[in-house]
Amino acid sequence: MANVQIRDLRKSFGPVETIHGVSIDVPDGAFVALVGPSGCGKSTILRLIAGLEEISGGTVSIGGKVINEVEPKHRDIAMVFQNYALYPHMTVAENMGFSMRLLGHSKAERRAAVEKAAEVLGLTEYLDRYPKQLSGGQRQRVAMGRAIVRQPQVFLFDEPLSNLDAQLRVQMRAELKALHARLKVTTLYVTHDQIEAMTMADQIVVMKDGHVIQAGPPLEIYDSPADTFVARFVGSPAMNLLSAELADGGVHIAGRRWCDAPTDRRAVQLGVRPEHLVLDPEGVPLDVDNVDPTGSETMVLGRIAGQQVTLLLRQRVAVSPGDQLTVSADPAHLHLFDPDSGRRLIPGDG
Amino acid sequence: MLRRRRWRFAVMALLPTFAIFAWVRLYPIVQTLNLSLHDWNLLSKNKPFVGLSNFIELFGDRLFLTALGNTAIIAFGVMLLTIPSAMVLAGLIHYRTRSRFAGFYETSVFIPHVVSLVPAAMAWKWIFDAKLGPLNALITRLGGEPQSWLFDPYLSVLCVIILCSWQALGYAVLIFLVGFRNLPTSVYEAARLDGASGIQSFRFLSVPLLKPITLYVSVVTLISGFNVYAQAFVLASDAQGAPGRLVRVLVLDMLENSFRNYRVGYAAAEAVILLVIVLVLTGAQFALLRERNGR
Repeated sequence: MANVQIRDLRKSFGPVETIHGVSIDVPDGAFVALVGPSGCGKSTILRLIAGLEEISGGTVSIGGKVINEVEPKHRDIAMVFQNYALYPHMTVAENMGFSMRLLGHSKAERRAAVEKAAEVLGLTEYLDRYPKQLSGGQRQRVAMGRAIVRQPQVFLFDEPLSNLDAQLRVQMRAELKALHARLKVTTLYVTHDQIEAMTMADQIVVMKDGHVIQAGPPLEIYDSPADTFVARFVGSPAMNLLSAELADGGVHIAGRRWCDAPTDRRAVQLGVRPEHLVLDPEGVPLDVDNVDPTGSETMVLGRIAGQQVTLLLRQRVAVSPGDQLTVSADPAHLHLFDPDSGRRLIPGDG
Repeated sequence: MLRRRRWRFAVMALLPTFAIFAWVRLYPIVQTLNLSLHDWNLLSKNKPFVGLSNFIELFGDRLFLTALGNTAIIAFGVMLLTIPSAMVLAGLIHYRTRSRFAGFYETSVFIPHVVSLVPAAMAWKWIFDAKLGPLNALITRLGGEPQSWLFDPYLSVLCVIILCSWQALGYAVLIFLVGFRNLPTSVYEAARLDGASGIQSFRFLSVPLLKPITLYVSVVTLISGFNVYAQAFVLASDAQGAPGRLVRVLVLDMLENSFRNYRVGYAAAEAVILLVIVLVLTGAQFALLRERNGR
């Protein structure tokens, strides 16, 4: 096992720089998720660590050793690809034992290692099948098996669950989490699905346009987003962002004082998560546009003073489009952002 | 009603194409099959039916058996020489030379395929020439014994194989290049992380993954190998200078039987045998591909 340290990492494709000096620390044995929208550079970072792309600047160290110039096969890492990248002409056992075959291990050694990994992943009965004969979930497991057999210092996962259906994804998420708890191998996990990141990782790194925007434990990021991008990206449904007026030392929307205002500001953006808006007879009016009942909760889309908001209610309410509700929020659950830069104004305030 | 009209439209639309196909493709084949069962001297109105006697006679014909043997050796020789070298060359062009010269390499490998056959064969005749040829000059310089390449009955077969392979290589490389370009890159990346070197990736991934392409190119090369004629005609003259006699091939034998001996039915029987060989090879290719896809 080893920690991964990324310092001022840069990657250029021709004259275009796509990774702009990224620094990430992955402690030994930790599960860190890189999350961000498509094209933010998270997969590129993984490929740079794996050695599949050349590093343009900065360093990547594994276990304290800089590996910029080290051949991929000597970096002691295993990667699980989005499309699994299984060898189609090899059986499951051959796929999993390929790295050992290249290292010159005997057939018996290979078989023993493969069987052990197959047992962990519930693949024992599929060892003689070809990838084509397996379901998506089973293929995914084989890809993980191939990684496990190598007993690497670091696992890299590149959106491994994105090709699976929703139900299977939930199941595989739990399996991956259990696997990490069992093997305790340092893991970097790339996903664009923030729920996946929230539920699985010890640490989340939120990226945008080749920059790290915020890094920290999932709940910290959820409770104290560094800017409006993180605020909107992490959490589902996304946080409501409302333009507010400042008057008498308070933040006002629709004629109601929601919380105290920072003294040195003339304008702020108010952030409130959909589940933190509550029905309150003395609250501000909300014009209902749409109602999505999911059974366990009800999502209401509407407008407060003409601004779009989403409201997530844990109870069932008899409300339909065109109705009006009155809502408010606990000041402790409000977030304030600079309307120009999008930065958080009261750090640590949750 | 609508269905019937659609069906009628489909038939009408296909009919002209099918008619042309039947006229230029099917009719000659059927006519050849028919001729092979008859005796015909090219001029006579009478074509007496002789049953299978043409075929029976063929299998006792020393010249035909020599031609069949030579043709098979050339066809398989060309295949064995072309396929591995084409695969390696395509691999090198694809992986090693992602430079601005890649286009140049591709073109230079492909040019022999489009060059007119007879001048190319004449050039090779000069290369293989026992007295003036650069090949013997090179061998002598390296301290070897010069060979009479085009007069030795065995070496001349080898010369024909080399010429045919040189020509077939371009097409095979082109098809393999397409194959290489369609291989999934992520599989190679996974292999790199698994510790595979370039040569190991080629051996353990490219070769098995390109199997359908290899099969296709093998069969196409074999079939064109069985149709070898001009190469042997130009290269392999006998001691008296009669072209193509030293390495007698099937097509030459057919031509001689038709237009020199005026035994068209007999030559048609040879053509039928060539057709059967080609059909068996194609059938084998399809069977192997099916087996692979069924996996």
